[in-house]
Amino acid sequence: MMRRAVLIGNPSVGKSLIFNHLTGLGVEVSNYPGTTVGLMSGIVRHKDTEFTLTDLPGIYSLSGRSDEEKLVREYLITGDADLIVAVLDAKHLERNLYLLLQAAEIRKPLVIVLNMMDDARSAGKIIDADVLSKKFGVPVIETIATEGKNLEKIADYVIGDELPVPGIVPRYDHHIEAAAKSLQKYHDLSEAESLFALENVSLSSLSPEVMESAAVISSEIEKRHMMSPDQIIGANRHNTAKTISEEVTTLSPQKKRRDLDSLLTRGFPGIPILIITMVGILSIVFLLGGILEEGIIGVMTTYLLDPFHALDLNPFLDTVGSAVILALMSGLGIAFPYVFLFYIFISILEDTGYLTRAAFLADRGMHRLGLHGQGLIPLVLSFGCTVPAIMSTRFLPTRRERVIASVLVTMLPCSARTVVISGIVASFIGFGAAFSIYGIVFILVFVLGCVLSRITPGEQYGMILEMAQLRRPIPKYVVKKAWMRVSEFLYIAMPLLLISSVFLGIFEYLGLVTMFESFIDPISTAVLGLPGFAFTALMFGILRKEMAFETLAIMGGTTDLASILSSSQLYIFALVCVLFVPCISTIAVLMREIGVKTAALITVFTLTLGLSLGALLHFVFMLV
Amino acid sequence: MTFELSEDILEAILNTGKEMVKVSNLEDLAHGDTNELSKAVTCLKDKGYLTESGDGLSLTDKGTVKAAQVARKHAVLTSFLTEVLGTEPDHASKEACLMEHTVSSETIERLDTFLEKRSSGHKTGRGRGWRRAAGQEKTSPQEHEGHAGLTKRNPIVSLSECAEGSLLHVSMIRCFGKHSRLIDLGVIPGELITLRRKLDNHAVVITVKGCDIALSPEVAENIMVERCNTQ
Repeated sequence: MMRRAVLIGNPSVGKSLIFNHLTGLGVEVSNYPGTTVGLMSGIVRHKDTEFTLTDLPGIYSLSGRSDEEKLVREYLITGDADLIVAVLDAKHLERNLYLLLQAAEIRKPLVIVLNMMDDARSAGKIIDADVLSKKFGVPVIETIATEGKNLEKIADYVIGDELPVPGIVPRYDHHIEAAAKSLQKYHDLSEAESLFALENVSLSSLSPEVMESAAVISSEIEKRHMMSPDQIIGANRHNTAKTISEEVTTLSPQKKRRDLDSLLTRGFPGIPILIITMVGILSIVFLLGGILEEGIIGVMTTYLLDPFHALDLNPFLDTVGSAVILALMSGLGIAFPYVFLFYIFISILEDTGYLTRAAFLADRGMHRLGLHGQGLIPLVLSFGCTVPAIMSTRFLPTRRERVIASVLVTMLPCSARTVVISGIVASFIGFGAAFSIYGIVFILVFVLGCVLSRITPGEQYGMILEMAQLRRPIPKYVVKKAWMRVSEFLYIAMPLLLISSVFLGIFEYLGLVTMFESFIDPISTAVLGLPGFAFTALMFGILRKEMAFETLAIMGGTTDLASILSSSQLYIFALVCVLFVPCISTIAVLMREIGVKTAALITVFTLTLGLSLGALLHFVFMLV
Repeated sequence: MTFELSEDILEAILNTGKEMVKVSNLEDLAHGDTNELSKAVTCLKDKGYLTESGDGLSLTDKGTVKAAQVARKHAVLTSFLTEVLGTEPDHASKEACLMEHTVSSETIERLDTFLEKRSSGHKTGRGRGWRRAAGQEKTSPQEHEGHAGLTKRNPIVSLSECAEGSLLHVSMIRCFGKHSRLIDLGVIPGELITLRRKLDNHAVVITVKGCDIALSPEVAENIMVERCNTQ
C-alpha cells in the first residue's frame, strides 16, 4: 500500500512549486466528486519507494464556505491521507500559523514545511525551527522551494518510519471549551469536529442532529458574548498564533526596500500601466497567435491533408479521414497559438504577483457586470480565445461569478470571430459596419452583465484578496504551467472535436448536408434572409468559427462573397455567426468548468439570441 | 425649531475647534434660512452663550459647557447606533443629530455605561484596545482640543472614511456573516491594521499581520475602526 501525503497551505506559499518539484511530469488533474475544483495528484518515486502526493487548493482556513475550503476540510477529516504536509510562508508566519493550528487539531500525522526561508531572512525575520517543532510536537523542515533547497527532505520524511501526530492544544474561551467537550461526549465527536459544529460549518460526518444541538449551544454563547462562536474561536486561534509566532521569531532591523506598489496600485500610474499591460498582451497574442495558427493549419494541410487526399482512398474513408485531420487542425490551431501563448503570459502575471494588483484596480469597472476585480482576466482573454478565457474563470472566488463570467466570455468576440467580422463585413461592406457589429456585441454584453448580476443565484461577496508578493517568475515553471493547461485543453476538447467533425463528414458523405440545405433553405430564407448554403456554412462554424467564413466561400464557389450575397445578407451572416453557438472547444470547456446543465443553457441561449437577432435584423432590412 | 437650531449652532462652533466662527459658515444648519439663523444667534447672545465681535461668533464659558453636553450626546448616540445596532455611520450621525435634542442626560449616562461595559466584556482585546487608545489621546491633545471628556475614545468610523497611511484599530465588523474570510486573514476586532492604499472609489489595501490585502468598497465600509495616534 502506497503512502498518501497531502499538501495544504495558504494560497501562494509555494505548494505548487514543491508539488511540481517532487512529482515531475506524471501529474493527473481530477475533479473532486461533486465539485469543479481541480485536484492534482502525482506519484513520487524516492529512494525505491513510491508514494502519492496530492496538492490541495490553497486556502486560509478550514472553516470557510467556499468550494475549495469545503473540499480541503472533507479531504482532511474523512479522506484517507496518511500524512499532512503543511506548507508555511516563513515571512508571514503568524497568519500562516492560523491554518496550521486548525490542521493540527485534526490530529493526523503532520509535518511542517517552513518555506521561503530566504524571503523571511531578507525581511529580517529569523525563525527558530526547533522551538516551533517542540511547540507542535512534529518535525519542521526548512525549505526554499524556488531553489529546490531541502525539498528532498520532505520526501525522506514521507517514506520514513515515524509519523508523529501534533499535540498542540490552542486555548479557547472557557465557554467554547465546555461546549466542545459536551458535544464530544454526547455525540461521540472528535475535537476538531466539535469545533466545526460550533462554528456552524458543514461536514459530511456531522449529522443534522449534531448541527442542531451545536446551534442551540452556539446561540447561548452568542448571547453571553455578543459575538458568534466562529468569531470567538477565530480570535482565540489568532491569539495563539500570535503568541507562538512571537516566541519563535527574532526580528532584526531591515533595510527599507523600494516599494513598487506605490506605482502599481495607485489610480495613476497604476491604471495606465494596467491598460498597457492588458492591451500589450492581447495584441502580442493576437498577432503572434494568428501567425502561428496560420502556420500550423498551413503545415498540416500541406503535409497531412493533401497527402491524405492524394492517397485516393475510397470516398467514405477519405471523408472520415479528412474529418479527423480537420478536427486535429482545429484543436491544435487553438491549443498552441492561443491557449499556450496566453497561459505563458498569465503565468508570468500570476507568478510576479501583478495579477492581484490588476484585480484590485479593475474591481470598480467589473462591479457593474456583477463581477469583481478578478473577473478582468477572463474578459481580456476572451478577445483572444474563448477557451483559455473560460479556463481562467477558475480564479474567480464564487460559482456565481464563474457563471456570469462564462456567459459574458462566450459572447465576446474572440480572434476567430474577429476574422469573420474583418473577412466578411470589413472587406465587403466597410469598416463602419464592422465596428457596428462590435458595438452591438458590447451593448449586449453590458446589458446581459447587468441583468445577470441581478438574477444569477448565489450570494454576492465583496472582494477580499491577498496581494501576492512581487517576485521574479521562474521561466521553467511558467512554461510548465502553460504546458499543463494546453494538455488539459487537448484532453477535454479533442474527443468532442473528433466526434463532431467525423459526424459532419459522414453527413456530408451521405448527402445529408445537401438534404439539410434544401430542407433549411425555405426556413433560413424566410427567417434570416440567408440561402440554405449560408446557413450550412454557419453550422460548420461550430467546429472553428473561421470555418463558417471558409465554408461559405467554398459552398458559394467564390471568394468574392459580394457576388453571391447582398450586403445585408453578409451583415446578418456575420452577426449571427459571431453570436450564436460557441465553438465545440468552448462547449467542451464550459461543460468541464461550470457543469453540463449550465453549459447547455448557455449554448441554447446564445443560439436563440443569435438567430432572433438575425431574424430581427432581416425584418428591419426588409422594411427599410 | 429655534431650540434645536441653537443647540446645533453651539455644537457646530465647538466642532470647528476655532475661536471665531463667521455667521455665514453656519448657514447650512438653518438650511439657508438666514432669518431663522439670526434669530437663533440673537437669542443665544441674550442668554449669554455666545459673544459676537467683528471677526465672528465665539463661545462663552457657559456656551462651551452647553455645546460640550450636546456634542457628547451626539457621540454617545452615534456609537450606540453604529456599534450596537449596526446602523450605517452616515445615517447614524444624522439620526443622532435629531435625537440629541430630546434625549435626557440620564439616558445618555446609562447608554455610555452600557457601551463601556460591553466593550470591556469582550474577550478579544476590544477593551484593552480602547483603553490604550484613550491613553494615547492624552499624549496628543491637538486631536481633541476642547473636546476633553466628551468621549473617552476616538470616534469609530468605517474603514472607507480613513485616510491613506493611517494606523487603525479594528473595533467591529458589520454584516459579519458575509465576510467570514476576514477572520481567516486576521481582520478581527482588536487587531491593528494599516491603511496602505485607498482609491477614489474607496477600494482599499490594508496591511494586517504583515500581509497586504485588497478589499472592495462594500467590504471596507463594513469594517469599523478607530484611529490610533502614532507618536
